[in-house]
Parts: sequence; structure tokens; C-alpha cells
Amino acid sequence: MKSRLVLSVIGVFCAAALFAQGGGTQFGLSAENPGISVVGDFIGHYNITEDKGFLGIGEVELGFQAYVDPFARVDVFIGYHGIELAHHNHDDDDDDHEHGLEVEEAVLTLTSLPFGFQFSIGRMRSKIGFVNVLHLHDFHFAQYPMLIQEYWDHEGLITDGARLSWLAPLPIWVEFVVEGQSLLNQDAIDFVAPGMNIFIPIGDEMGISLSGFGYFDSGLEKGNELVNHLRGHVDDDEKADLENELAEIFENPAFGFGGWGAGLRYKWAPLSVGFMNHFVIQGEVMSRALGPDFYTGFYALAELKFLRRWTLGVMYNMWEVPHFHAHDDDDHHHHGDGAFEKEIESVFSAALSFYASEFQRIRLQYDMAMEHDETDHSLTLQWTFVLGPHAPHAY
Amino acid sequence: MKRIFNILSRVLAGVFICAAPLTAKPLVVATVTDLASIAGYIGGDYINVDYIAPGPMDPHQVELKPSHAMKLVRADAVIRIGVNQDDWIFPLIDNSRNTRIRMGNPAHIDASHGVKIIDIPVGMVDRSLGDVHAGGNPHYMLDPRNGLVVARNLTARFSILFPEHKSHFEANLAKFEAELESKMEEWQPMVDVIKGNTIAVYHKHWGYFAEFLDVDMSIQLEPKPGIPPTPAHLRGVIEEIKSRNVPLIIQNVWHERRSAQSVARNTGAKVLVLPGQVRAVRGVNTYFDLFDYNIKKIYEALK
Repeated sequence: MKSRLVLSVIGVFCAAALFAQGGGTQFGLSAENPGISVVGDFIGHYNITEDKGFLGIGEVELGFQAYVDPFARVDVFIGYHGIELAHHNHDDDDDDHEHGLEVEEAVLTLTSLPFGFQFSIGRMRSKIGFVNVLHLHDFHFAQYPMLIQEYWDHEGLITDGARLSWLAPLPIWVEFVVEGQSLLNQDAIDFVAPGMNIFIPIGDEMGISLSGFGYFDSGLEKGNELVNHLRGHVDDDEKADLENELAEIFENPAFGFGGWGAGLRYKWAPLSVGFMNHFVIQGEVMSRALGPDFYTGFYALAELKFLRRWTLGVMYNMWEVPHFHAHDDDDHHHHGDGAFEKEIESVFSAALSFYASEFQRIRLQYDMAMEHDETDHSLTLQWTFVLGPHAPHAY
Repeated sequence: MKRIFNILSRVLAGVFICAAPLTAKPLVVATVTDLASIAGYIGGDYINVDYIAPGPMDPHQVELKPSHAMKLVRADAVIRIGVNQDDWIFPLIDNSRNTRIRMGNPAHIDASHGVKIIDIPVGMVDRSLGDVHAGGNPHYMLDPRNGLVVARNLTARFSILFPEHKSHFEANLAKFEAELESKMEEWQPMVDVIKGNTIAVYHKHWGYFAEFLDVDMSIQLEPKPGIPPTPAHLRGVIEEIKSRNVPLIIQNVWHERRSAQSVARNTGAKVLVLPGQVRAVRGVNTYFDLFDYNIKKIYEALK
């Protein structure tokens, strides 16, 4: 019988979590109603290299957040996805990313467990690293880092499952998390990620965050962006060969080590000018298995809030991706097999953001994407708004 | 297996011992420094007091850190302003996993009980009005008479939470009342000079202070609460300040200075950057220091 299993606790050893963004404020709402919010953005995108552009809705996210009773809270986010920004030609992705309404998150969190434990169950953003746990509108740029997009999904890794976290009784923030998710099907838990998140305060103005995680999975063929990437980069006459190779890799998926990640963030927010200025530098490295091979990448970003309403950020992404080369004979006939090779791609981004108020932001972003020997230049205008109670930002 | 269990037990015991508080005093954490100051006064030697938002930080926009939640992990009580001002404390409480201090428990203290809240919006409230607090103006600590209400609230709640020290808390409250009475007499001659004036403000933060001083602070540099000044609005402010001969503009330390300085250059009004709460500037370390500093500065600017 097919049933959706969620993790019965595997044990608490190192797990990881960003500092969670919890509940929203109860601005103007009766105590009986949940906090209801709408966050959305409009996107204007112009590809300078190809002289093409478009304008439309990027995302509209409807949130309901409230305590259920003295022991639990529920956070539900329903999203509409319109334009999906991508640096690369993901022809095959179009079928995989349906536009329209979907339940992005629906997670119940037990907040009253003893001994520093917290348990969540439902559909949630996986707490792997610093960025995946963030909603895109809380990130410094108009897109997630390419690591997240290429190794997981354009919207990050969102899965059904359960998470157990434990806050160690230490003078500094040390949280261990383990989560188990069903990625491939509804028969088994096939993704388990233990990790750890540490925050070291330096006075009132500075702090260093560290994040580390590993994960175990069983192949992850479906929804695997690396596989989609491969499919999007082969010629029509090579597709059959690629599918043969993929079939071999995923023929007997075995549960095993699937990858790892680590991150470091430094933030400075001087009190002398209150909330006016801050400076953040942040970087993460991640590795992801595809068959026997591991593909690794990183991003590094910096953001300076140089005036009360203005921020300037730069980000550099570099990551390995698989490319498939079919084996040809002298007459260029395919033999039905081939080989994967690692190639490096990179993107440089710069974003200037203006906060008209706390609830409205206009961002202009420039991207320079380098793939093979081609360089792609593009500009993105992102106009973000927030209605209703808005959950506080993570540090 | 037994050996591994023994080693693990010892490691865990060590962790808990290292993390244990060094003293047996209860720990009370306040969201802001004003509340921490009064809690320290009432708690005296019998309670340790800490706070989340440092004095120079705008309490509307506190950047949450894991270290803030760590302060709450071992807290025996939490005190908040209420009136939607410091709702950012709720996710911190959740993340601290400290169920003792969750709302509804005696150790979760809303200090605003009994305070007469002003500026409660009438009719529909939305963000076209700016960052308006639906529950009214939360900056009630800027009237020292409200400080007394808070001191009484804390005395009553501390006496329930830590009954073994009830008599000390009550004695400290009596000292607080006496010191406040003495300070009111000390401030009165300066208040007599200040009252009746019109003072422009950057943000609608000083309503309770205006009531205490009996001054008009209805001219605001922000077009709406929380919305940064626009050139068009500032032109209107300049005209109004000129027409009403307003001598002074006051603003908090956490707001930008250029707008007030620009208005001052065009009107001849003085600008005072004042602490909106305890520890926002050097030398203002207690609740009484806050009023000593602000009343004296305004008096000197107006006399």
C-alpha cells in the first residue's frame, strides 16, 4: 500500500538550520484570525545579448501564519509563479515548472517540546545552508544563487517531510537539525539531511554565522536539475544516448551519500547609525552527486546598505555542471552510449535596491552569465511589495 | 556499549554544567532598555536583567539575531512594551524553545497594562496611513508617569513569580516612587519654561513626552509615520515652521539627520538629536537619566 511516510526521528546528530523566521506580527488583526500576508513582485527582464525582453508577474505569495494552540503553530504559503528568471537555456525545464497556484509550504511546528527540541512536519523549505530556507523576496538578489537553482530547483528545495531540531544548551547559538523528506515518490523517505548551524556574536554590532550539512539520498532522478540541465544541452540525435546513460545510473538507486554543503556569513550592523547601514559578506559551497560523480560549486556575495533606503550588492556564482558527449564512430553514428564531462559555468550579478518604504522595494540587477565560450548580459527590474503582517527578517 | 554511554553521559553533563547560570538569581529579559532599567530598579540585587534591543537601535526595526534568542533560552521572565511595538519578540521566543515565557504565561509580562494609550486610530487602518500602530502610540515610556505604572506592574508580577523577594520588590517600588517624586520637583522649573511651545519632530514618537511637557508637537518631518521625508512635504514643514515661528526640531538618534538640518537651515530653528530610550546616548543609563537629559536639553535650547 502506498502511503506517505514521514521521518520517525532518526536521531539527533548534527543537523542544520538557519535561524528560522518565525511568526508574523498581528498588525491590525483580531486575535482570532491568522496573520495574512501577500508578498509579490513584478519582473521586467531584458537580455542585452539577444535583444529580447519581457514584463510580468514574478511571484505572488499568500501567507497564513498563526498559532494553532499553545503547543503548535502553522505557516502556510500559497504561491503563484509567473516569470521564472534563468540564465541558461533550459528548454526541458519548461515542462517541469508549471506556472500557477501551488501550496509552496504548509508546515506545522511543535513549539513546546522540552529540552530544546522543535519538530516540524509538512511541506517546507529544506534547511540546507543559508539561502534555501529564505523566501526569494528576502534574498539580496532577484534569483537564488545558481547552486540552489542548478543543484536543487529554481525555487529551492521544497519537499514534504519532517524536521527535528535541537538547540544545544551552550552560551552561543548551536542548533542541530535532522530532516527526512520524500523526494521521489510516496513510498519512502529518500532524502535525509543532518546539519548544524552556529552563530557567534561579536558585540552588539557584528556576528558570524556558520552552516554545515550533508545529505543522503537515493538518486533523485525526478526533479533533479542536473539531469534537466543535461537534457537541455544535448542535440536531438544525442537524446536517446543520454537517456540510456541516465537509465543505467538510476537503474538501481541505492540510498547513500549524496552531497554536502558549508557556509560562512559575516554581518556588521553598526548601532551608531541605527538601522541605516549594514554590511554583509556571505558564501556557500555545495556538492551534489549525479551517479558516481560529484559536482561542486560556490557563490560569494556582499551587500552594503549605504543609505537608509539604498543597498548595493554583488554576487559571483561558479559551479560545475555535467555535459554529455555521445560516442561516435568514424561515420558519426551514435553507439547508444556516451560520457559525462564536467564543465564550469559562472554568473556575476550586481543589484541596486531602493526601499520606497519598509514594504516596497525596487531593484535593478545586472547579470553577466558565462557558459561555454558565450557571455550573456541581462538586466532585471524587480518591484516587490508586501501587504499585511510581514515576518521579521533573519539575521 | 556501556562505556560509550558513560562517555556520552559525562560529555552531556559537562555541557549542561558549562551552560548553567553562574548565580541562582532569576533572569528577566526586557525587549527594550527603558523596561530593563525599571526592571533593574525593582528587581534590585535579587534579579538579573538583560535586554534585546540596544538603546541606539530603532525599536520598530530590530534586526533579529540568534544571540537574541539565546538571551531568552534561560530567561525566567520576559517583559515587552506591547501595543504592537515589539511583536518581533514572538519568533525569538519560539526559537528560544523556552515555553515558560510564552504569551499567556505569568512570566510573559506586557508592561502596558494600565497605561492610558493615546493616538488609537479610529476607523479603518491600513498602510496608506504609514506605519500606524493599530493599538495606538506605543511610546508611552516617554511620560515618566507611565514609568510609575510600569514599575507597579513589574512589582506585582515579580512578586508572583519570585514570591520570596516580594518585600524587597515592594521596598524598591517605594524608592522608585520617592525618586520619581523628587525628580518631578527637580524638572518642574524647566518644564514651566518649556510648556506652551511648539516643537517640530521628525517622527511621531514623542506624543507622550509632549503631553508631559504640555507642548505642541504636531509638526512632523515625516509625511506619515515611518515614511521618510519627501522634498514636497519638507517644503510644507518649512513654511509651517516659519509661519508659526517654531524654535526647535527634535529627532531620535536612529533617524537620518539631513532632513532636519535642511529644515533648520531654511527656518533658523535649532535641531536637537535626543535619545528616545535609555542607553541611546552616552550618559543616559537609567530611566531617570533619560528625562534628566531630554528635559535639560530642550530647556537649554528654548530658554
